[in-house]
Amino acid sequence: MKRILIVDDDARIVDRLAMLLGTKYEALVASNGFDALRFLDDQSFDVILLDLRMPGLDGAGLVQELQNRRIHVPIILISANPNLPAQAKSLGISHYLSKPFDIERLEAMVETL
Amino acid sequence: MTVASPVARRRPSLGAMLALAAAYVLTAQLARVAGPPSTPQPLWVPTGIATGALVMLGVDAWPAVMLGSLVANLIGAGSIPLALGISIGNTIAAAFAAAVVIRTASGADVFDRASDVLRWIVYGGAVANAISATVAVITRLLVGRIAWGGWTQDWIVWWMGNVASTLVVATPIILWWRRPQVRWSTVKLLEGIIFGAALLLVAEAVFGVPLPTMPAERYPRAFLFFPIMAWAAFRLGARAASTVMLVIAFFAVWGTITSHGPFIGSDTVESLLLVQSFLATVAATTMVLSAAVHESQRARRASSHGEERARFLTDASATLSASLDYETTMSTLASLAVPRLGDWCSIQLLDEDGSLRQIALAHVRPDRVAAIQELSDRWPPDPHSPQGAHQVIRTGETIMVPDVTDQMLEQASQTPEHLAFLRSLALQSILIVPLRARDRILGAMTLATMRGSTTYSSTDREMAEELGRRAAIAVDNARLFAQAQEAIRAREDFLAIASHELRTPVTSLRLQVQIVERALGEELARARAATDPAVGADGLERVLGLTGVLGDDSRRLVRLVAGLLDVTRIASGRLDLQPDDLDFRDIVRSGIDSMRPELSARHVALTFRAPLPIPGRWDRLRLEQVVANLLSNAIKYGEGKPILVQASGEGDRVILTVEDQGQGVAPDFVGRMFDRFERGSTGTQGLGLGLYITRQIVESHGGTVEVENRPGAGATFIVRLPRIVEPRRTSSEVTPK
Repeated sequence: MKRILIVDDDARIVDRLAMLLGTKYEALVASNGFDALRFLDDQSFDVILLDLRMPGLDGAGLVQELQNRRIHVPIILISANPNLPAQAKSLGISHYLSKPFDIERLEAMVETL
Repeated sequence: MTVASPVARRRPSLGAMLALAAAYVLTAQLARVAGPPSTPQPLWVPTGIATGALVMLGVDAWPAVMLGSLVANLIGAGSIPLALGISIGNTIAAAFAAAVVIRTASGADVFDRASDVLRWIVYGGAVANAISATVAVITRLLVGRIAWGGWTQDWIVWWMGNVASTLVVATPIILWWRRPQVRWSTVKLLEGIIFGAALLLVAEAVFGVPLPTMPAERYPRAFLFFPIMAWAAFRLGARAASTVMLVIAFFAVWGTITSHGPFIGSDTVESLLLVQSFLATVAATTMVLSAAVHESQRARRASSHGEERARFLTDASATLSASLDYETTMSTLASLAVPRLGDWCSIQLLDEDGSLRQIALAHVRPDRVAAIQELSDRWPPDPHSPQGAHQVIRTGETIMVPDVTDQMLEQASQTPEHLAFLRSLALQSILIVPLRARDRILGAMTLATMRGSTTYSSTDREMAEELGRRAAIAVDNARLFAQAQEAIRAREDFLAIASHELRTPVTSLRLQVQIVERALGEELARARAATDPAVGADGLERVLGLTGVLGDDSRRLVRLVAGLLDVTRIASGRLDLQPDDLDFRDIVRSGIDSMRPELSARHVALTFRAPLPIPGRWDRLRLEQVVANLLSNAIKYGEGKPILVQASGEGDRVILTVEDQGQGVAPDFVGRMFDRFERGSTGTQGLGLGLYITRQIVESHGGTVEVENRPGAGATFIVRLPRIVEPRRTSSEVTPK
């Protein structure tokens, strides 16, 4: 079973995502980049679902930090930011989903990683 | 020209009138003492003095002429009735001449135009003096000074003497009175000396020793004066020419009195007539010639001034359109205006709080800029002052002070130190024009010249006002641009916030609906598997059906939000593309996948044909949106019949077709189906944005979208795209030139 880390500060979204993905995968939740780093320090994940706008360490900051720490986990950016494609590109991430999205599309994307 | 000279309108002073009367008497006495022992005189100087003075002082000064004439004639004629009659005639003649010149021939400026000069000759010379000659002759007849038989000759000589005097004497009086200053240059002085020598030489040739080869009377020697007068008219101007004419008149009269020169007739009267005719003819010709030369020079100056003005305004316009940073532009403009429009230029703009802010200052001496800055810093102008920039801004009217007087500085100063400062600026002329655009006063431009420099005229005023208009338009445009930029920024901020704030709860809603759908689906599966009828598979199925509506509506909400945001982005020109290397088939598949829930909800069968890979470079998300929009349309109007989607590559282009088998598009809707907020029928759901967004995305890829309509049998949408699409940032921000 794939382990997924969901990093988003919107509790309603992470709760629902965790519930939907929890049936197929092992889904853990972090509300910002710092929380995510604490998980990543001692656990391994197959995929990170990452929002961009968060308090504390935001999505872009976390990506940078992961690169610095040489932690290589596939990332899917999920964001309501209208410039998501451009931001994904600038962060070197090729998988992204614009909010709102259908869970099936997210699941399909997770399966390819 | 009916413009009276401003001098002529002023009431003459008593001093001026007494001086005129005295001049009349003195010259009359001088003529009697030094002139020929005849009456009338060859050149009756007092007539010229009287006419010239009345033109300059105004007709109101006629009592001076009357007084002078009466005294002179009492002394000369010794008879009260005779002196009275002659004086009345002389006064009427001088007043008539002056009135005609002031009213119809530009007054003091009579010698500036050939047409005015002709009026001067005819009315001021011929007609006016016919009056005085007639009155004088009648009086002389009545008192028995002349016999009835000789009145015609007497009349002619009297008339000619006065005409010659008007033309020869009044002309230089008017011209020198109008402009007494003389500006000498070395070249002018040299030319004057040569001219004087030539004049003396000609005078000597005409009135001096006769040449031995031919009898004196056979030489038309008087004509030698014509080239001299032409020289004066062309090179020295009307004032000098009229002065030269006076000198020639002196020679002619003196020569004739002393029996020298070509005007010696068989008797005194013949000699008088000859010299008078000569003087009147040469004077009239010279004056017309001078005026014509003056007119042509003025026209040339005006033309070259016009060219200079056009050149300056062109330069200024180029400066003004060079940048949208108006503070820099105004500085450049002020530098451009100095020294062409003044020694000093300051541009002040009105701030929102009504205060004036100086944004540009240029001085012909850059070391004075700080001093002038200090002036406005230490003694800021009173906003309620009836003078200066504030007044111009209040009234929108230009203020022009051609000659700044010390009294004006005293009035404008706030403290003695301020006055000393103002005096140190050595101001000659000031011109303050409003900066007006779209009927609003944005500020003022102040131009000034320093003493010794030029004095502002109406031409400068027009030029400065035109410059002010152009500067104001530049400032206005720059401000509008800044406001537009600000509006765009505000809209984009709103877009980003609205996008985020709308999408987040919609995401949450969609996920929740999917949780419910899945939970119900699982429950239903369990119920069907269970044999216990109490579990109620039917009820669950019904609830699941109801939830399906929720799912549909939440998906519609997602699309509406996305569509509205897309339209806002398209309207603000910010539909950016992020192309990636992709297989076009994958894009179409993703688009179809995103529509699976709708397809299955409506039980619509879909066939996708794309047998070969279609590699290329496109914006994946945007093209998925195109596919989804076209499918949504096909589902909406396809009446549940199968949909066929095909994708293929042809050379450097790819083609996507979406074909439904509904009723096709209403013919009157085909032309506007890709427009914003257009819907196929009023009963259809949605905002009418799907096909509009589709076309915008396709066109931003450099492609086309069209429809093959089969009324009653369906419609096929055909999208043609280039295989390689370059990244595009359609930023709506206009880059300032």
